[in-house]
Amino acid sequence: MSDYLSKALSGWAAVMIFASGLAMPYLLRRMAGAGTPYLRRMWPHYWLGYLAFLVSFAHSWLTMSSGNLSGMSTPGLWLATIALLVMLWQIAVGLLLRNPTQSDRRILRRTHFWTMASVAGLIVAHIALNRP
Amino acid sequence: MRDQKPVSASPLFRWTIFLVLLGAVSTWSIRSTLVHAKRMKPAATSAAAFSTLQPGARATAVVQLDKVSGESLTGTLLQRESDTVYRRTVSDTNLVSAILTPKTAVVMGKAEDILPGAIVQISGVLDTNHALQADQVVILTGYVNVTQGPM
Repeated sequence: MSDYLSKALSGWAAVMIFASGLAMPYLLRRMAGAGTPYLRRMWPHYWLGYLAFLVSFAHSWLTMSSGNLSGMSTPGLWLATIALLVMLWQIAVGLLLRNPTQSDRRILRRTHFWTMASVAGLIVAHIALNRP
Repeated sequence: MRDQKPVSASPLFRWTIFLVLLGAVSTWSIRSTLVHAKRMKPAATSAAAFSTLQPGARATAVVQLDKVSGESLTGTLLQRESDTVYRRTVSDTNLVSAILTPKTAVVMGKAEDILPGAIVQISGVLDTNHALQADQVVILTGYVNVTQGPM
C-alpha cells in the first residue's frame, strides 16, 4: 500500500507542480512588480518548471524501480516517458527564453506554449490509461 | 469618466481562482489516492481459515487466478507477507473458486483484467459449493509481487 501511495502521490505532486508552473505566466504578467522586469518576475515559473521535471523523474524512478509493471497499460507508460523527455526539451526552450536579448523570442514562445500543451495532453492521457 | 476594469482582470481575482482550483484538485487527488490505497488493504483470510468457513460466511481472499471460464474463476489463495508481497504455495486447501455475478463490482481495473495469472482480491459470500459469490473484485496486478515457495 505504501508503495502505491508513494507512486501515486509523487505523480499527483508532479501534476500540481506542472499545472502551477503553467499558470504562473498568466498570473504574473499583469501583476504590478514595482518596476521589476517581467522576466525577473517569472522566477516562480522557472523553478516550478525545473521542480516539475525532477518530481516527474522521481515518480518514474519509483515506478520503474519496483520492477512490477505487469497489469499497467504499456501505451500509458510510453506516453509518460515521452512526456518526461519533452519536458527536458521544454526546459531547454525556457532557458533560451530567459535571455532578454533573445532575437527569436516570438517563435520560441510559440514553441514553448505548444510544447506545454502537448506535455499537458500526454499527462492527461497517462493518467487516464494508468490510473487504477 | 474613469475606465473600470472588469473584476476578472484583477490579479487578486486570478490568484484566488488559481488557488481555489489548485486546492480543489489537490484535495480530490489525495482523497482518491487514499480511497484506492484503502481498497488495497490486504485481506486477512488465511488458507486455513478459508477452508473452514461455512456457506453464507463472508470472506475476502487475495488470489492468483489460474483459470477464468466465463463467470467462473479458479485460483490459488495467496499468503500475505507484506503489503506488496504475497506468497503462493501449492496445496489443495489453497484453491479458491469464485463466481462473478451481475452485481460484482470491479475496482482498480476493468473486467478485461480478470484473466489467468491476474492477482485479485475477491470479496463475497460463500455458497454451498464453497465458491465465493463475488460482490467485489479488486485488481491487484501490478501492485503486488508474488513469490513462490513453502510457508
